[in-house]
Amino acid sequence: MSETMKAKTNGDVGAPVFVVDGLRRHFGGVPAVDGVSLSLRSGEVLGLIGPNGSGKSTAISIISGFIKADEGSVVLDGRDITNRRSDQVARSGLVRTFQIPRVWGELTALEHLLISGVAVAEESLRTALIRRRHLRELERATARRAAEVLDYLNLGSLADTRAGSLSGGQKRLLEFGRLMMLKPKVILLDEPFAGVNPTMVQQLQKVIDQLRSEGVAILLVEHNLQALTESVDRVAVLALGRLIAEGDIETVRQIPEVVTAYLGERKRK
Amino acid sequence: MSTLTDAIGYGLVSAILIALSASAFSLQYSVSGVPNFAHGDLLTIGAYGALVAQRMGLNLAAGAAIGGISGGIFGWLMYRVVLRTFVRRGARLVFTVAVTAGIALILENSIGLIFGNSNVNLVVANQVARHIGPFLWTNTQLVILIGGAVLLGALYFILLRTDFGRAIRAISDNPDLARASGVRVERTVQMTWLMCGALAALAGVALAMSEPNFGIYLGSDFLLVTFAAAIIGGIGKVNGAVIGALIIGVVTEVSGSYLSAGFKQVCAITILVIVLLVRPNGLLNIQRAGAEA
Amino acid sequence: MINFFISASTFVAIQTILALGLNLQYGLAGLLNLAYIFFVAMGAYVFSVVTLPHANPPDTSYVLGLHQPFLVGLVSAAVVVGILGFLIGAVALRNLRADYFAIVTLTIAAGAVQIISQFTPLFGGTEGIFNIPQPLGGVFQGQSYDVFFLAMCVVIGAVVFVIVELLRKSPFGLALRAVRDDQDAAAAMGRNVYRLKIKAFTAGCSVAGLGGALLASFVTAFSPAGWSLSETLLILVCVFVGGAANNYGAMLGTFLVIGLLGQVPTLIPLTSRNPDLVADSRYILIGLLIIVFLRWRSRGIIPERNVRQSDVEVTS
Repeated sequence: MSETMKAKTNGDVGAPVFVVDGLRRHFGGVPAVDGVSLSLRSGEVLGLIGPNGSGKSTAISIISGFIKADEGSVVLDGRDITNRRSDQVARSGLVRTFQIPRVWGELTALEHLLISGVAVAEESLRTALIRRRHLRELERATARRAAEVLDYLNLGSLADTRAGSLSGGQKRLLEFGRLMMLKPKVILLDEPFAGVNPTMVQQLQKVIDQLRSEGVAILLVEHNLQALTESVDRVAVLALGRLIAEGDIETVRQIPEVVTAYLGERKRK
Repeated sequence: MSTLTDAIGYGLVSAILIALSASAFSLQYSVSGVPNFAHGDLLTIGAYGALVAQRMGLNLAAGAAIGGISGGIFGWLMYRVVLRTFVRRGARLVFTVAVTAGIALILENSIGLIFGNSNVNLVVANQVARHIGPFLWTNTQLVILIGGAVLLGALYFILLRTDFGRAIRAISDNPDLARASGVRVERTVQMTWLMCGALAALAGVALAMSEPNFGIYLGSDFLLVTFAAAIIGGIGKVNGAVIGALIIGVVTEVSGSYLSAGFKQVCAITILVIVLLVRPNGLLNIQRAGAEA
Repeated sequence: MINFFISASTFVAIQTILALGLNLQYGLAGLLNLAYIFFVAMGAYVFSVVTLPHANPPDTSYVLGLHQPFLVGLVSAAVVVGILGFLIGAVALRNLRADYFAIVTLTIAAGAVQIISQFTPLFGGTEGIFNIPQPLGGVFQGQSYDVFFLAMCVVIGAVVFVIVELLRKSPFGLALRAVRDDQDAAAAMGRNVYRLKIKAFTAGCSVAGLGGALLASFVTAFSPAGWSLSETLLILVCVFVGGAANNYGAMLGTFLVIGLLGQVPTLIPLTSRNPDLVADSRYILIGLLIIVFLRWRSRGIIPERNVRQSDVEVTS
């Protein structure tokens, strides 16, 4: 795990680690995502914004393998992962979160991190039944990291609490904890700040900065432009499934099309 | 006449029975998300309702009415008394399934306690077989065919032409959106359980008429073909249920008459497995967009 | 009285094995396998045709008749039913929705009952198979044989218990519980939901096959009449009552439901004279238990055991 991290931090900063090209998906003739192209470098945070129904979530679902693309490609670290199964995508180093935090209700916070810290290959019947000593060492190492991460997230006191009874913000933190244990190359965050109180937002922000400094590339989906100001390097704006603008946040804010897209949104509300 | 047309004729009769049962199952499922494993017992309740009516000296039409009404009441009770809390709590799907299976146990064995576990039968007027077009049908089969077709037609009319039907379709499409646009979701769901209970019970009466005798497992044994039809069509879709019923009904009867009767089930299972391998979501299922903000 | 106690205990021991297998599928992986009793039955049949000598039609008819020793029969039952579970799971899990799985398994099981009943040459049709062998009949006689058989079931049960406990505590078990609680989130964390479920399903079916073999050897006769959906629910309710995903819970549940509820009424003279009445009301009670427990105590008497911080306390 430490090797991949080194590769990330020492790697060529200029080359994008993650490239999405011409992504397209229709539902019954209606285009939900209509030719979206994005690219991300290690340690970069790209904000993907757009009003409700602009196709942000669909785009995330396609990239992460939960919905199939009609056209286009997703390349991670030079490997084509277009239309792979969601679990394959995740194992190749691209992990998403969900709009509503998805935790495992009957599992404790600690267990969430234990799962995320153990390689999928260890979840075999062989490890369970035969390689007992190996398993104990593995568990000890994972548990140590899990404890660190829980403390970092201020969730230490909730380690033994079932995730089902955590608050929305705590569930979100736990999702972030899973990401910290997993250390992927690319993270897709689907409206991580929605419905989270301001203190918690700061904490989430801290985690994002931490991950970014470790060289993780982050795609941050938001529908509120304001929420992004502090956290992103660049933003891309999506409307009706198309990218209508891309650049740094101040420039984008001036573009008339962006303004109309958002005003349209306000009127509907 | 030829074995093939006879077999297809029988197949149509069993297809209409399966279609009634499977569309009731699918409709209940589509509005409430509950796969009702006690569905078979609604058929059984219909049959025993008709039996009670007949023992009281009423004719079969009155029997069917009483059977249908009791099925409707039990369908509604099932949802209102037991299942609603689980649906509202957003309980895990396996819980709901297990609870309906528990309801099935209670109903079957209660019927057994009341009526005894030995087989009974409905008295049906003498069976005259006659040719209609290429098909050979008995009087009873004709009654079932026509009655079933009328019921299905009525169901389609309700679904497509009435406010109640529009509400059902809106809810099965997207319950939250339906609620937001003013559909009285709770009432519609309860009415659907009532209607589907009655529909299933009428299918049960017809099934009992076509069998020489029946017992407390009449309906739950029929679950196999009901589920097979529903799965083939794509669970929750009435059109799918009807198409699935046609396939299962005709193919099983035809194969049964050419091979041996035992092959009926083998055929049903084979079709089911093939469909699951080729189109795991059923023949009529189109992937919808994921939850969008 | 003592004979009754021994045979009741043996029955409970075998049912415990069955409950442990089902708990692996339902408790850990969230797979509601309504065909569970079908796999138990297949275990019984496989054991029978492996251990019995050649069939002697028209008196008896079944395939194979390999006349192998008891242990060979036991192992074949576990292996063959495991393979069967793998194949059926591979089809039934094509659609990963929980309700689909329940419906498909039930349909397959119901079809299988019909098929096995119709095709007499396979496993004796509706008549079933008789004179299923018991191990070491020459060594122990009478009551001591019954005690021996009970001891054997307890030992095998203990082995099964250790195995399912190891699975539960392993990363495999943890991943299964995650898949059970939210499979999309598990997939998003790199877990192959389909594979994990198939593994759990296969392992559970294998245990079912083993238990079925013991059951066949215990009652020495087996026919399709003995395995309906109700029987699956009977085992399932043991898991619900005791506590899903907890193997101690499954044991306790089996003791309470099968032992107390199932066996004791046969001792009461009034009820034992009306077998139908007893059977019917017992199933009604089981139906009620399912509803009551899932409604008010869905974690069961002994809830799922989580990995706690104190379990993994690191001294550093």
